[in-house]
Amino acid sequence: MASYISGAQALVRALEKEKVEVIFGIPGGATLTFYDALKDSSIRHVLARHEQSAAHMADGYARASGKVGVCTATSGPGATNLLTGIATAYLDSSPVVAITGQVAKDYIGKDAFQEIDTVGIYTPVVKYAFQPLSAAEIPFDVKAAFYIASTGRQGPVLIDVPKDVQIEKAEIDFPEKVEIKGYRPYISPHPEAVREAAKLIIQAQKPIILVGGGAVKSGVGPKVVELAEMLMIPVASTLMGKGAIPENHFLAVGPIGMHGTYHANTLIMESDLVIGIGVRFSDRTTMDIKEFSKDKIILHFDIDPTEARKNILNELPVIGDLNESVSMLVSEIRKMMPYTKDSPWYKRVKELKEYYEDKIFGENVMSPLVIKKIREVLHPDDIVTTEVGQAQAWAELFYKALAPRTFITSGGLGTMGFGFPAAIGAKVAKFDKTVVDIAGDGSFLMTSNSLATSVSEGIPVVVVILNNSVLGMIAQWQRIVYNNRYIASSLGETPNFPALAKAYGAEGVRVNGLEDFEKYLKEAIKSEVTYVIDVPISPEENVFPFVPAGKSLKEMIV
Amino acid sequence: MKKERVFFITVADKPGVLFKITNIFRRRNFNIESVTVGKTLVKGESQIVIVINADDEEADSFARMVKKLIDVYEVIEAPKESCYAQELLLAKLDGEHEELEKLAKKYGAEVVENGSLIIKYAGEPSNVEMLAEELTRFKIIHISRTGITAVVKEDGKDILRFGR
Ligand SMILES: Cc1ncc(C[n+]2csc(CCOP(=O)(O)OP(=O)(O)O)c2C)c(N)n1
Repeated sequence: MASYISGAQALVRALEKEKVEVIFGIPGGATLTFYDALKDSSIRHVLARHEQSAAHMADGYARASGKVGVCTATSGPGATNLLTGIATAYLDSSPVVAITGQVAKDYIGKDAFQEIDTVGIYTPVVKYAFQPLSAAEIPFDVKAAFYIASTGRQGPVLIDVPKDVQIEKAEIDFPEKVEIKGYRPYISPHPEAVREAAKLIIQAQKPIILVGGGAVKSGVGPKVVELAEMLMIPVASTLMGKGAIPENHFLAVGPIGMHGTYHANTLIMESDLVIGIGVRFSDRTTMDIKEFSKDKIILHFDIDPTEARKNILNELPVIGDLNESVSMLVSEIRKMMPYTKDSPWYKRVKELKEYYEDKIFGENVMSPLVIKKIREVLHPDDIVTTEVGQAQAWAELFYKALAPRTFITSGGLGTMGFGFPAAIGAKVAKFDKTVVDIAGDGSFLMTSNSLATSVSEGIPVVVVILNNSVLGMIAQWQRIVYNNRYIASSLGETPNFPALAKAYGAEGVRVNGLEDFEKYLKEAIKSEVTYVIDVPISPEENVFPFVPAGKSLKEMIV
Repeated sequence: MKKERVFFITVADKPGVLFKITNIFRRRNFNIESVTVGKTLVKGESQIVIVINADDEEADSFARMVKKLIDVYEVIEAPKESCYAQELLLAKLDGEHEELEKLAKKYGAEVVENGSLIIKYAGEPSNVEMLAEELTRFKIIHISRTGITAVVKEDGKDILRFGR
């Protein structure tokens, strides 16, 4: 049924039809009409203090809930500020819809005030970019944007709406379904490829499963556990795959990669077959890819055909929906299954895991203990987000994610400043859960103004700052790789973080030792406002294991 | 091995599609040797023919990345030797009519006269290359080449096909 409404009203109604609960954003000249229409809607608007944070909030909301996150910014500087957040979502395949205002059609391409080629600069970092040129196109574009963002390999979609299109009134229809020629997100795995994979797995002596972000998003975890238990083989993960299966499972060995666990890195290099599930074999995960794939068979289960043979040429790809392909794999293997309970491989896994699982390399390191304490205190389905740097790597190594969507990190882009706004977004999605951002002091300073959002919108999260007064990861590289030649890694006099938090109306405390930390963490969890816990640590702490760039996973520094 | 590859890309006939495709090659610092675009028989679709110099691995990866674009319906990639390829050359010249006729005859080209002196040649890309070289003898006012368009040979080898 058509109604005579403005483009902005159509935009809001189309968002309501997608069951959008919340939009994160900042208004501007080119979105005022949209905001005016939003005033009549029940959709909640959360006012960010920087558009980058608005995008991270939408992203955090999406990652925690599995729903599409929505953010908005005005044209020009609003759109460019938002871009880092959208690129972050793109590299981690997170379903976010970004709505940007644009100058009126007649001004596009003429360097008008706050006019920038938004579609042009977003195109390489979104799954698709729409720019409706009439109000009547808006419902289709919105429906298509949500459909594209949330299906297949998920990712962000842009809708850039010129101001006159928002104002224009027209008879507007709302489609119930959209069809997009050239877009086929559902792919059924090829049974022959699955059978071949099953045969290779049965023949292998030392297989290992590697789960990635795709395994988290698809919820294929329980089937992966079934597969692993049936074969009694280890399950490693990528950074993005943390939580796909509970990391306290007796076959879980934790993440591999530049900062993978000692046993996971060792086991995957010793293995003779890797079952990659929802991974993309990125450089940070495999490190030296030639060494990684040498003398082993690589099976690659993924939804995205472009991932097949992208990084490893001689792999066997099984492209299709992971729930389908892994189910098929499980039943194929069940048919041929000889039980391998006490294989030498399982003994090796057990031996390494027992020895290294709780091992902390290096002397007098506080950070791993802090992270372990957080795990101890939080419930299994509480949520941790991270910033980027050493804090992220410590969280990767020592925080055991026990459920999917409970470990949220910028894996692909490595965006400092992601964790705090993402935590706010995650909290909006899961208000009854505790959300903790594991932060470095440098990263937190990038988006700490989101404290204003968290306080004024009543979205309390906990920020744990591992405060080493340095850009820790930079300092670690300068120490180890650049022979102690430090430059631009000292943060000098860092701000008084508890006072900073209080200035915003949040809570803050500087703790002294682990016991003190535990006490305040428990208090922070109960707090009705955001709570910043400042944990002083030595600027000299290193994250180990550490595989320097260009080296193989075997060459861990510990 | 690096060699000339022809990509036949069937796309939605709308603004921005060519940009997205060429951007994929640009991102990896590939020079596009030629691009031609024309409508297909299907309404709302057109075909882009792109030639680049790449090895097998690169060609495969480009084909996949281009196919991933939502406005791309089909990608066929073939080494140039697996294609029947042609290029059109038009040149507006100043000079001896007769001499030009002689040159045209050698190539099987056509001399058109409509106010100015124009030579028109469609043929093998390598012949176009040679003819262009020979034309430098004349005073060239304007020369336009289309870049190649092609079809895959029936017995062409190493052809990749994605989509549809
Ligand atoms: C936006 C952005 N800028 C720069 C970097 C490069 N970088 C990676 S880690 C790091 C240091 C992070 O320092 P901090 O947040 O204090 O964490 P720490 O390593 O000390 O735990 C920097 C600058 C980045 N990842 N992201």
